[in-house]
Amino acid sequence: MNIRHSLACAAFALAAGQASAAAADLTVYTYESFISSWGPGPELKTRFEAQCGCTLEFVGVEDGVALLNRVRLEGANTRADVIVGLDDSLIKDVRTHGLVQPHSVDFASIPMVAALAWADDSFVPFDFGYFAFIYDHQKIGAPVDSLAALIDGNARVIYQDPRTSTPGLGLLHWVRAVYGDEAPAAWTRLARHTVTVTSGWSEAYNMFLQGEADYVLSYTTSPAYHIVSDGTDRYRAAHFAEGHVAQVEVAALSAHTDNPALANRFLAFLLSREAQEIIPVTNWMLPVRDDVKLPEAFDRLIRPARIGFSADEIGASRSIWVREWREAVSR
Amino acid sequence: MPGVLAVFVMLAISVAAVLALAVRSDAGVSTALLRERWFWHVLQFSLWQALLSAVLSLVIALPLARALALDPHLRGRAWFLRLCLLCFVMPSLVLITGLVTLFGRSGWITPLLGEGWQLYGLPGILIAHVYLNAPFAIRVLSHRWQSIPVDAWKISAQLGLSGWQRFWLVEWPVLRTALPGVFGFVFLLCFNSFAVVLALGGGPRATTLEVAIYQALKFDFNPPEALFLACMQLVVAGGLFALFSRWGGLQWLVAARAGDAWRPHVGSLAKWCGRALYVAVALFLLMPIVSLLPVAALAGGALPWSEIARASAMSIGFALAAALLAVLLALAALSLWRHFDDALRRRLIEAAALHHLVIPGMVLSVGLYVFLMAWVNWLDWGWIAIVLLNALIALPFVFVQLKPSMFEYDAQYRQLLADLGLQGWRHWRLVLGPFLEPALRRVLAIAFVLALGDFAVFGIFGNPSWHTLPWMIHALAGSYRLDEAAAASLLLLALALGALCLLERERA
Amino acid sequence: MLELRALCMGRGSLRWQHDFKLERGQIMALMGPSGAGKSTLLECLGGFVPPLAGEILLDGRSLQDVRAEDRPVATLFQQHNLFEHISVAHNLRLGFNQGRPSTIQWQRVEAACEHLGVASLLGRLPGELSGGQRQRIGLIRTVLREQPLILLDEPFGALDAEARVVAGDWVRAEIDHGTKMLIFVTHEIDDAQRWANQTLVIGLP
Repeated sequence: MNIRHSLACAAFALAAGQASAAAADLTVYTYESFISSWGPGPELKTRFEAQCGCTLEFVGVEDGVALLNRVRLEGANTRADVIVGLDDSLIKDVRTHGLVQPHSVDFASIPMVAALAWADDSFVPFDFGYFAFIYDHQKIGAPVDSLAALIDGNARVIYQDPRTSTPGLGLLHWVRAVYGDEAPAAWTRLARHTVTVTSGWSEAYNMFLQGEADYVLSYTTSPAYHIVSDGTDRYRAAHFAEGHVAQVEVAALSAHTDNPALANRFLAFLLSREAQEIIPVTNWMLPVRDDVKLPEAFDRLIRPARIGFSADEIGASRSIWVREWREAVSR
Repeated sequence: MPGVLAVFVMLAISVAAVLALAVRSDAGVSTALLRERWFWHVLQFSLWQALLSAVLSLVIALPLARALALDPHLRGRAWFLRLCLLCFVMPSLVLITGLVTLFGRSGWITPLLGEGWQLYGLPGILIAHVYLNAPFAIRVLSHRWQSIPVDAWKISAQLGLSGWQRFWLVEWPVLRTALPGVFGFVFLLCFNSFAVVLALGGGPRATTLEVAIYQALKFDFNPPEALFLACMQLVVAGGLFALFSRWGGLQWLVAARAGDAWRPHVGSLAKWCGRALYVAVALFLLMPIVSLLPVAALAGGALPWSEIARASAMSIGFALAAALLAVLLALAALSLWRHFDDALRRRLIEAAALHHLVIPGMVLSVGLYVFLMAWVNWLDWGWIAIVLLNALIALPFVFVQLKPSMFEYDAQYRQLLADLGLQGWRHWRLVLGPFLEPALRRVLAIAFVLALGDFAVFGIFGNPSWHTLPWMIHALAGSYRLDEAAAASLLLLALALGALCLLERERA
Repeated sequence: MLELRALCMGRGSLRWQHDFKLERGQIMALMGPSGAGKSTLLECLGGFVPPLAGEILLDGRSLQDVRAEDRPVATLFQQHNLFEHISVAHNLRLGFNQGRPSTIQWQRVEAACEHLGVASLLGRLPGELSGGQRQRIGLIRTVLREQPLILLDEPFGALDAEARVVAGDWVRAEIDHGTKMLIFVTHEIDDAQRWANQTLVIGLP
């Protein structure tokens, strides 16, 4: 044990925490809930370590955006070999800053979900989800069947701020995809029956569960959680005729990894059937493979059509759209 | 000299953080926002809601603080004052849930509020801000009231002064020294508030500058804009705070004597109003916590207990270290402060200790991270930054509450000390330490709960092997486990309460 | 007339009991070693310390339930009689009719200040005064107030021999001209002999 390590231990003898000074073979940066004890992280780590005979270390930050900032800040100083948990709206930023490098995964040999239409040479999708408005089936018998009906209706809606949360950003794309240049007017109409806009997903979802709103912005997979964990199917996702925008979570090789072979092996592992069966029931997203066996609850989820923009389009217009939204709803 | 070192640390970290961000922004500070209508709207709203919140908090805090100090028959005073500190550790999710349970669509209190009641908007923001800040004001003001020397009460009693005369002559001079500062603190806390404002504000019309900074630094990673916003915040909020503070000079009434605790008679109207307010505020503070109990009790079993235990130990370790450091920094700065007689140098030291209240914690954290990134492996050394930054964030609270004690000490004993020739360590240990002890316990308590509730700094420097409780609560809430998050929050509050009991335990 | 009937006081485990009468126009000197409870007796008369038992009667009326704020008592404490943040004149005015002395009262205050040599200090803050000057200011305010019972805790302690005589004679004259009663604490037997009608010596309990 070196000196600085023992210093850290002396200062925090209270907790059994070992500072992560002992370098693992593979360091994976990801977001926090991915590696919590109920997330996919611990199980994936055990399985992968057993396969490769190596050690894997997770470093968790607050969320996907924090992840991007972390690797961007660290630049060449980064200790990350693999980055797991960026989403498609951040891909352009990551690429322009040269933070990742091409992977060796061959998508052709894997039965990928067709809706993803994935062929990126740097980013590997490991799960995805459609944004959707969740409602309480016991309160609302006839839910809205389109985004237009929701926006023009008078149901009480809670969503998340696109400046601070991923689902909020997703809704921004969604409205833009459906309304195009008419988006600002749609935002103004939605604002009239918006209960509130929260900074994070959990505040919004909790307020919805407390009965503050008829609809809350979340994912099509949210009902699966309630079926599996709470044993209730009262919460359902509204199926919108215009189609839904998807969030695709991706992993990539750090541009500065010193072990690209092992890093590539981890990416391939993320796409294995084994991993793809763990991720949906721990991260509550959809698998990216077609041939995965999932709990029955997943069969009852809506299967919307996918609409939206490419990662490059999103990257190019995000700040304009945010400004547009900001102006429209502040009026 | 430890004082010089402490002031250097306080200033150096802020300067380093801002410099690091400035270097990363090739374009310099971006002033494009100045031309946007939205920016002015946000600035205006930030100021307006902060002003209203601060006024409202003080209107509630003043009579209650007086009752706490002067009415000897209030029961559970010590517990109430501890409850007042819990607001600083309360996760915003818990507060929002609690307030929605009380005032929301099907809230407990909503039926009493009439047809047109709508929580979301200014009412929600004000309720939340009063919840978060009035308790702090109550605590500080009631201590100020209690610090009025017995002899001052006795002279006024034997002179037969009327209630108003006594107020203007005895109470007001003491309050006057604390009131602008407390008002400034509450104003700044509300000005910088963000999660609560967004959630209860009913939409982005109700947005503060802090949201914009968060967006600029986190979502867009746009250091020029973040720097601009931070500068605006520093100028506007810092300027206002400096203005408030100027009105609150310290004054020496009469010498304080220990022991004797004679308190003047309070008129029965004031007394009963005070008691009614006491009960009402205690209920208001307790109810959001109580509303969690049923949910938390059910979810308690499902908590990952071994992880929670580790996270709790970590939280306590970090918070204790940060609180001690904050107190040491404040004492060091004050030792320098009392050393100088001129107002200018004293003001500079105060500015060094207080300016962290105005600099967004996010700017400080990200800036420091970037500044030392090339030389320091934060995965190993982040814990130092967590302790240090939390100490700096708590420092203004500590400094501002220790200063009056130090001032009174000097006013009373400076000459005696000079005569006795006591200096250095022996002086601290034999005289000053015991004199300051009650105040030290108080500020240690507040610094501890502030650091215990930290989420932002850990978010930057944290490492999975040092998970803290607030961080776990965030992770739980982020993956549908809202009930477990409530249970963990309750545990966090209980930990804070336990620690406060230990810290405030009187020595027999 | 002031009358103490089996007045029992305590401090910690110590107990005192007092029985005495004091007629109007008379002065009582209170003597005894330090720690004998002289100040405690004054505080008890002033209403700041509750008695354990017994009665205090002023002209036959019990002071038992009268709060310190309302007692017909003027006290000069041993220390800290002046507010440090207001002027000497303001401090003096506070003794009369809640800070609004009548013209006659104020003239008497000014005359007393002249007599005791502190007239030039009225515009200053207490902090700028010497101990003896502070004591004389407090003494003037206390003695000239309307309250019939005057309590002075070591009123001449900070005065030199000459000022002591002037101040003591002035107090004696004020009592002679009116119908007030006065109790003062002193360690000097000369003080008691020169100014007091009766002397109460308290021993250590």
